[in-house]
Amino acid sequence: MDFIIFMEAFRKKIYIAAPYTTIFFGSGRKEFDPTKPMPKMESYLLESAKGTSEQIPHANFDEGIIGSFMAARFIHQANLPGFLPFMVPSLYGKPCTGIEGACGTGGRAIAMGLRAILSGLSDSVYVVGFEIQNSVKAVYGADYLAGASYYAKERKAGEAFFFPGVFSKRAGAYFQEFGHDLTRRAMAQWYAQSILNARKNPKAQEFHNSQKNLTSLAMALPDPENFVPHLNYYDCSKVSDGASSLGVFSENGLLSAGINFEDALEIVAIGEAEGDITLSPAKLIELTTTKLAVQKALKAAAISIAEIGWLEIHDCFSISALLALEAIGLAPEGRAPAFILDGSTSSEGVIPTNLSGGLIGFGHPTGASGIRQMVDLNLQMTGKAANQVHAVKPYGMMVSMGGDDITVTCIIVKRAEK
Amino acid sequence: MNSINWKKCAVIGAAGKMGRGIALILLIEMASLLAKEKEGSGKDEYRLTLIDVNSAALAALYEYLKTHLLKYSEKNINRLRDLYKNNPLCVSNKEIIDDFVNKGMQITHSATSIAESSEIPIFFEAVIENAEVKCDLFKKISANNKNAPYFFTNTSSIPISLLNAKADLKGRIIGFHLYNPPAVQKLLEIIPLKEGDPELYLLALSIGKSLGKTIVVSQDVAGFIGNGHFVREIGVAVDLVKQLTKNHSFEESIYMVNKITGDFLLRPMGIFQLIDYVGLDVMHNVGEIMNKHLSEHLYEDSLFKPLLANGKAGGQHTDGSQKEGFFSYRGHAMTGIYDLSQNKYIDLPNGEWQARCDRELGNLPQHYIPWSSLSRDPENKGKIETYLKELREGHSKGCQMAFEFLKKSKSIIDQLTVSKVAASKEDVETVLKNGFYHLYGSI
Repeated sequence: MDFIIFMEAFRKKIYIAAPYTTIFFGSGRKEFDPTKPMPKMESYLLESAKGTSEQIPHANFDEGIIGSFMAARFIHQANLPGFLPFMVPSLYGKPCTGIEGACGTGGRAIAMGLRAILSGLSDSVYVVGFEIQNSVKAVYGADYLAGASYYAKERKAGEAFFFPGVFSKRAGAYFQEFGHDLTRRAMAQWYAQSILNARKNPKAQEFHNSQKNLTSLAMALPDPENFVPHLNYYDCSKVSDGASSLGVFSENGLLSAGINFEDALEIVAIGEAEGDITLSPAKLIELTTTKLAVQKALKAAAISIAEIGWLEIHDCFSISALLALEAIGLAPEGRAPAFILDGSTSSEGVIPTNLSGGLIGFGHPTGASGIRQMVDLNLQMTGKAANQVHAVKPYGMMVSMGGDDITVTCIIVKRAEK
Repeated sequence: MNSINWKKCAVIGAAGKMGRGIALILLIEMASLLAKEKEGSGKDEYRLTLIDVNSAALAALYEYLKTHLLKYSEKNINRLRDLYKNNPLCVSNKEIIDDFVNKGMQITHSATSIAESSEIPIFFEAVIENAEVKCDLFKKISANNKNAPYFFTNTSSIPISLLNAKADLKGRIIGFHLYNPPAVQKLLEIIPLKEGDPELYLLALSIGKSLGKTIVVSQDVAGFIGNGHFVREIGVAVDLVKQLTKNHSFEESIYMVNKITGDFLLRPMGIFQLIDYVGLDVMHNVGEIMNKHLSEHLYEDSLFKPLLANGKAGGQHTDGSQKEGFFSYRGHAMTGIYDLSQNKYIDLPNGEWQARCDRELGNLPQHYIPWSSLSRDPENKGKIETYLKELREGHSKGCQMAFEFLKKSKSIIDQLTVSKVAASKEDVETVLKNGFYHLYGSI
């Protein structure tokens, strides 16, 4: 059955502007000390709201959307829409909605903002995502994060560190199919590239990482007795706290807000796809849902992947990055290692990827990451990024993934024009 | 013997430094066995009785065990998930950890007297290193017991045959010497009686293996292998200090010998820092015991006595931080060195005199790598060989003194082997590598 359905162009233009990210906080930051009190949810929410609002001369959002994956367990907080008027007082008395899609929450939140504009009910939507994960030790947080899978069926047999275990299986299958050594080296290089990019982003969790010999470090043998069989710690994004926010606007909304076009991006296309969480992946060496979402987005945008100048992918693990590059179509199956090792994804490569540092380098507060990806695309494409790369190609793409390739949102953007 | 159920056992002296460590490793093993039992069954088969005269210390011991059982669980979650794989009621890490800790603590039982121990078949003894105290306890426990209980003694120096005879145990005792801290240190010296019960020996081996220990069997000679080597090395160090004090102050001599036996020999710490760690009072006691039971006079107390008289005994505070001895400490970091003439500590680092001593010792060999890095390097063998070669050929005073020390250390290893305290040179090296974290055997 052909799942690729041609989408009509959006019936109105949709813009992204006023991007803001807090520091993504956790081990890696030099100020992180687990024995001392840490910033609370409220401070992240207020900071991100302030950061976005201050970029909008006439801020008056019509509605708000707030995303978080597991606030109810990490900090015992639900009914998150109630925080939006706290963060953005002009949202009092207006529609506010909470969104959850595991680690793909951010992508879904932006998608809901887009729908609100297309529906005509709103001209400007405040969209924020956050997560607080350092509230518990990683051994217990692993149980919360396992909720992104089919918990009742999978948790018992899963690894102690559940999602590293899930992607360790994928890595093992990839090693078996395409060989270990080259893949292992590519995963190590992915880590090194992520850290090198993060070092240029003052808000990144790995900004203070000054370790030498990054690639050698990341070649460390896995420790199956204490972790998972096929991944080491360098292959994994860390536990993070943080928030990211932005505004989604119609043209009317953008103009009313007083935002200049040169500070905004236009959403060209969106590809959304949901897998069946109750089923195991059909192919461990393929992110099938991601592939579908990206194909839909590219078809709707009527462009090829070769026209993408900046890319933000969901590298919750280094193996996820390899598989995402293949799902996106940048490398054939089994060839992502060579693609990475050739430098294709570096800032000087054919497709600069995760210039922010990505999830491994910038950090991964699960509810925030998808929005953070769009924040970084906005900064790059308007020339304001800390790790600025001026690409020739006109489009940017983000891929936000929740769970084991279950909840996927691919968004293609270009610089806004009058 | 094989029918002896060691799952109901007791630790005597449970609240002491070694006692609580032994209690912890026994508790971890018993809780692990219990975890594999079907839900609801097995609970009554396990009981760890913690005996100590100090009731306040026993209350603190309960909290210590609970805290460390939790830490163990969190650190070894993979192992625990495997133990619980057939338990459908415990799914998440938290459920597993909580169940493991709760059930583990439920099998502990505290007692300030031996009155409640009449049915316990096995006692792990960890009271002070004093034959009279130990034997008095053994006799009382035996008299109070319905069975003829077995004793696993943690003595590090007293001949087992002496304890056996003095307490009239008729062979129901074996040396089961764990190293400090038992939860971390892999080494276990087992010291059977010369013509002891082979089944008791097999039981000790089996328990040691269950506890995940690296086992070395020692002959029943005072000091066994570990202290047999360490006390003799202390003797070499003391002689070296005496030579140096002809031209140097007490603290300069201690500093230099500590540096030679630490950095120059690629060991985790110098010998005087190690003595501080073990405790000057403990080493003094061990030394005296070995002097009493061996024909050679090994231990000379001239360095220890003045410090002990001034209350500088080393060892650890209850929070695990290091107490002052030859050196003073903050946490575990060395902050000062003892000036015997003034009965006070001089700050370290200390510019002038320390620099002078360092100059006199001279440079470390060119390919020196700190122990902390080498010990984590799986490819360290070649690097160590290169270093030792440079040490042997080095012209600096430090290299020469260190190499002489190494030669004497080798002689000690040979002596322990020739005298059959150890079955082989490799056994001595296993003790040194696992108990003292040496990176290499004899040269």
